Amino acid sequence: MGFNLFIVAFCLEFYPLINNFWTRTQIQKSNSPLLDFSYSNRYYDLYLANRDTLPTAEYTGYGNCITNALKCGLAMAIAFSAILGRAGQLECLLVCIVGTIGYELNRQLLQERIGSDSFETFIIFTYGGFMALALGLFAYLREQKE
Amino acid sequence: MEHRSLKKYTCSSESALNSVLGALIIFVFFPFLAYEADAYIFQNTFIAYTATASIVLAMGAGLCGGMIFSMIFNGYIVLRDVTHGAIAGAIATGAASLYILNPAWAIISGFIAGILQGLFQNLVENKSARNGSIVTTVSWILFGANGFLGGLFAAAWKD
Repeated sequence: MGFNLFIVAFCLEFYPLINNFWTRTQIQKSNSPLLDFSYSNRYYDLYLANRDTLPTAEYTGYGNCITNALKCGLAMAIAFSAILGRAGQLECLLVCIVGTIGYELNRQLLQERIGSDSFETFIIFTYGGFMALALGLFAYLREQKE
Repeated sequence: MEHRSLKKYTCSSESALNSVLGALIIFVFFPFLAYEADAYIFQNTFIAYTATASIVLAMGAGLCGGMIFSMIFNGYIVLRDVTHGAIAGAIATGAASLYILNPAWAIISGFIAGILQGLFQNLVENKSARNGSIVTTVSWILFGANGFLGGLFAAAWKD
């Protein structure tokens, strides 16, 4: 339970930074080249609720809100649960850092390119599940070596 | 005196009770993940409500599928298969929930996901137990494999 609290707290703090980075790369726009870095808006909005996930006339579609940060925390908790009990605090921190970067990249890539993800099945659960598979394999190989 | 190895692998009743309570809370709040998604595109329509209702039905069907599978495969009901079956049904049906307007398809896909979840998890755990290795199957089978299954369902229903 302590690990999960740490993961959620870390994601709430770290997610807006990663969201800002991948937004400025323009990676979620399907008609622009990858890693454009030509984002001209200097200011960046943080929303409390889930009001900014899709581009509309009123909102810009960053998806930078606490709801998405909590979803990122859920994906990280799923991923870390594969090695829960076999890993320590440092591994948890590394999983959170790498996982949050990958989560936001995956989310922005899928945002406008995928047909249907109404339940966040691919963004949260499939990403967390396959990251858990990779982490479990790493832990298994490390234990085999020892 | 209780045998040491038996004590090591025995689940306490308190842990089982917490598991059931957690599953009940998930049963109530989990479908609302589909309620808010794509709300701007489908605003002023009833899609958000049918998507949520589809996931509730899929969770119930997955629970029944996991229970039936557990009775056939193990000879008795394993609580883990039942609770995981409900979550598997939600995840596998969730990706396509915007396109499911007939509740029968939600029930069928949830039932299939509940059975496949129990099958994969029990097969992998039995094999790893024979090899003497420790494999955590909950995260990648329950979430990863069922997410992949949900992608197949979404591709099928979208067209």
